[in-house]
Amino acid sequence: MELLYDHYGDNLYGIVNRITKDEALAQDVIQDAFIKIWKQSALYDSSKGRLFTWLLTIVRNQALDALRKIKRKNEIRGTAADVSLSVISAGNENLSVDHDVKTVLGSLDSHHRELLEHSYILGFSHPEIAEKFDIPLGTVKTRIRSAMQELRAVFGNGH
Amino acid sequence: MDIKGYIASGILQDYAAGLASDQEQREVQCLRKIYPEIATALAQAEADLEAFAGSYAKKIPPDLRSKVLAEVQKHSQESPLKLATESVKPAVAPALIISNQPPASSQTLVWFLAAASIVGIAFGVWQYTENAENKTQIAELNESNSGAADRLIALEDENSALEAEVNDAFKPDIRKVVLQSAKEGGTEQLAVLWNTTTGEVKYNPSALPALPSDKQYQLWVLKDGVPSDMGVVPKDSNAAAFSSPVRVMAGDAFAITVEPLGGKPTPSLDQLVVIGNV
Repeated sequence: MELLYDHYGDNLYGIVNRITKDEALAQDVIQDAFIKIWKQSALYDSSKGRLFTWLLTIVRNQALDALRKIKRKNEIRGTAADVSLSVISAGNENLSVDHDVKTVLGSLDSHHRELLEHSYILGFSHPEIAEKFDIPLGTVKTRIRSAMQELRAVFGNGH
Repeated sequence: MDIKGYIASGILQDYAAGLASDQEQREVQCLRKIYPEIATALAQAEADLEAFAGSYAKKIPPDLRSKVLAEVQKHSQESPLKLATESVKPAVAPALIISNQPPASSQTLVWFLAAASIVGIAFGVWQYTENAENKTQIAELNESNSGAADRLIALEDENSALEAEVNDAFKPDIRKVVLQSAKEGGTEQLAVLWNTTTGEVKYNPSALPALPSDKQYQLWVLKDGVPSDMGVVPKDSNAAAFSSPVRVMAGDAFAITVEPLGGKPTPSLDQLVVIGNV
């Protein structure tokens, strides 16, 4: 468990912070999430996917549940303007990892980054994204696919 | 199956992001075992998204580490055995209450024995479940492995056959004869590779337009204006190159006509589709 915490803790904590925008709440969420991870560890099946994906799903759900409980869901999903990597980066002086990754990702098209963030980090479904950005569902799927292609190209060139 | 299309559909990204529906998840889990390309694309999508998530990393406050690990430690007292016991208790306890009404001291003993047997049962159930799951996983892996091995062998065979075809095509005694449409403005074309040493004639049958079920193409070789049967062209062939059953050592031209199923001994000249001089 310590290994998991040390290896993935910073990444997961950063994501929880992004979702909750509240450090105290993020710390509670991380604590509860790690207890859940321990309890559900037998359910992890490596043949079904990467460990980080499984951890992220638990942590993300924990954070969203916490927000629902304190009725702040609308607040975090409210404005598109505050959803940007630059804001996150600017607020994180204690960045622990991979400035290199950040630099590389900085070159991603901002719309692509926004879509990836909503679907992967914030856990929005495609219909929810379509509604939020007021674009057709088919366009959401196409753009996310392009975003992934760009992400692949970015990592292909940068790493 | 159109694997490229499936990969391009974006379903793997949904799966990697944990956003796929239950049905989609089952589908991806199944297909990734069958098609290595899908497994690779999925692993790539997961790795990319994990790297993307890395850009959000933020250093956890050092004091939180000990707090979290202490909490986990506290909960870790609840071993999987205990958790399994808890899940069994509610179903068993009411039966015990109804069927046993002894004096208090005996009741304690009964409860102790009951609890011990519940633990035993739970442990058994837990072990059995774990064991069954492991066996299922091993069986699935074996099946998947065996499927992958079969596929690899088939691909290697296919690859060897294609290599042989390519090597054949570049031999110095190969002559390429291009057959063009016999109709003015027609677009039909077919290339015939003729080995002038062995007399073997090869071509790609799928290059010709499809025919009704009662018709079939037939290949002819012409020498001094006299046509000779080179055999019918197989219908619905996926082979990259088909070798004519008849070999020919001399010829001035090759031609293809449309004939009734099974072919004819002499060509129907009004049904000429393509022709090319050597």
